[in-house]
Amino acid sequence: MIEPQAARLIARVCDSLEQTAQADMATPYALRQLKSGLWTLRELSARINAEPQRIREDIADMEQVLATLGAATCPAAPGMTDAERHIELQAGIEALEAAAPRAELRELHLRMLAREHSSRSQRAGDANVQRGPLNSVSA
Amino acid sequence: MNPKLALDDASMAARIAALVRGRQPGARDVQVTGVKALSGGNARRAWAFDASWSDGAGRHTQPCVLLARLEAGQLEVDMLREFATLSALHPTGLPVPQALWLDEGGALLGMPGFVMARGEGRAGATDLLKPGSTVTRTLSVQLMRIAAQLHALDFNALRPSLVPPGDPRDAPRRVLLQWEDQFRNQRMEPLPALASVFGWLRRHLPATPCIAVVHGDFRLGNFLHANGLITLLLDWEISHLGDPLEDLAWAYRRMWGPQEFLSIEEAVKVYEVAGGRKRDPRDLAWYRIFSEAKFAVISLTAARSFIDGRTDNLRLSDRASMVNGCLRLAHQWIAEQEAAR
Repeated sequence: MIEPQAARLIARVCDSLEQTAQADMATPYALRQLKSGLWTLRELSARINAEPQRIREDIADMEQVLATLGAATCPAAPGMTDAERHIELQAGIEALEAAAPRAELRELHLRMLAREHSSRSQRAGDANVQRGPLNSVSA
Repeated sequence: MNPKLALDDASMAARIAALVRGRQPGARDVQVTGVKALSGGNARRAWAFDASWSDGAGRHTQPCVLLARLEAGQLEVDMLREFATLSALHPTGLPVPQALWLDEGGALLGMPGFVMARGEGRAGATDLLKPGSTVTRTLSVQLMRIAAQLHALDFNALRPSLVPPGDPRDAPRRVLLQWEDQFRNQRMEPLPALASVFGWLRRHLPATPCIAVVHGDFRLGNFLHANGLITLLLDWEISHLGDPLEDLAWAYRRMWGPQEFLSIEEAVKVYEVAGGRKRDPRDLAWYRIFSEAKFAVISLTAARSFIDGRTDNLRLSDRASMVNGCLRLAHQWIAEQEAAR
């Protein structure tokens, strides 16, 4: 997967920090907001350089699998970004698998997931425990 | 989202007092004291307080917790449904909070919410998952026994709001399709790897005759405990009619499961000894794969809520990054299931 794309996400994080943490840093919630936002920004900084290459590798992989399986695909339209092409090909893969599950498609999923995993910081896994949805109401 | 809603203690106390006056029959001289914001979850915010009021029977004081939905989150929370669930389950003897006052539309609180009786104990999973924790095994055993009690309830004898229309035996399929629908509504790209998991789940749905009230978010972290005992089971917002294995599988997701303290095989034995029905291990495996798909959808929903600007909760900002781990595990387990057939 490629959404939300890093630049868009960073913009939203910065907008939110301005609207919440800056206005009210005295509360525990604002502090948590700031910590979480900084965590995300650090994650993105680790991820952002690896993603364009990963997206191009995914595109080549999906195009090859679709061709191997005889699925009709159009070439990328002029001016189309890599992200748009990636999403277009994802839709083709989904449609093909909905018609008939294929071992080649599952292997493609595994390759793409592995690429995504290796392009991201390993801290994301730790974050599941550190700042994930574990904390409940503490009464 | 209402960013201008004042959330300071005095403002909250005034609004909570209005709720008590409006909902507690005959209440007069209402006082709300000790208002304190709690850490809350990702789906809603929480405040602790003490309410006191007079009526024909005298003066009453009640320790309380308010749960309120301030903005969008990772789940579409139905406060009315959760309030009805607590009201139906509290009298059964299970450790379920007593629901007190509901403001479904937020007319009195300024946001949808309800008040429940405050219990004693600590919440949160982080301490329980630390190596060497001395209470985690005991609490995990209790959790499995509570699961067996919950799943043994006669759902037909509970409030009708807990039992949706339609054949109860179709509940697991409806639950699966609801999560798949949510995936299709919340996704920001096709994400064929998750569509593939849902396709596999649809084709291999267990032919189960076992239907029960399912908590839906049954795990370490979603209960209060004190002195080695579970005192209250919390967070009933996605409880529903379904297959009990959904709760067992969810409790053992790797992110929060107590597998280092009580293996899933031991947990299943505890559950069965306590009255839970013995099941085919392949059905449990199906629900473990389903749990990964469900968590992936919750994460996508959280990420979508943030990116669309429906919440400013930064904890949700990068939740899409958690989907990858869910999908790698789900596909690995699907491959194992396929190889074993």
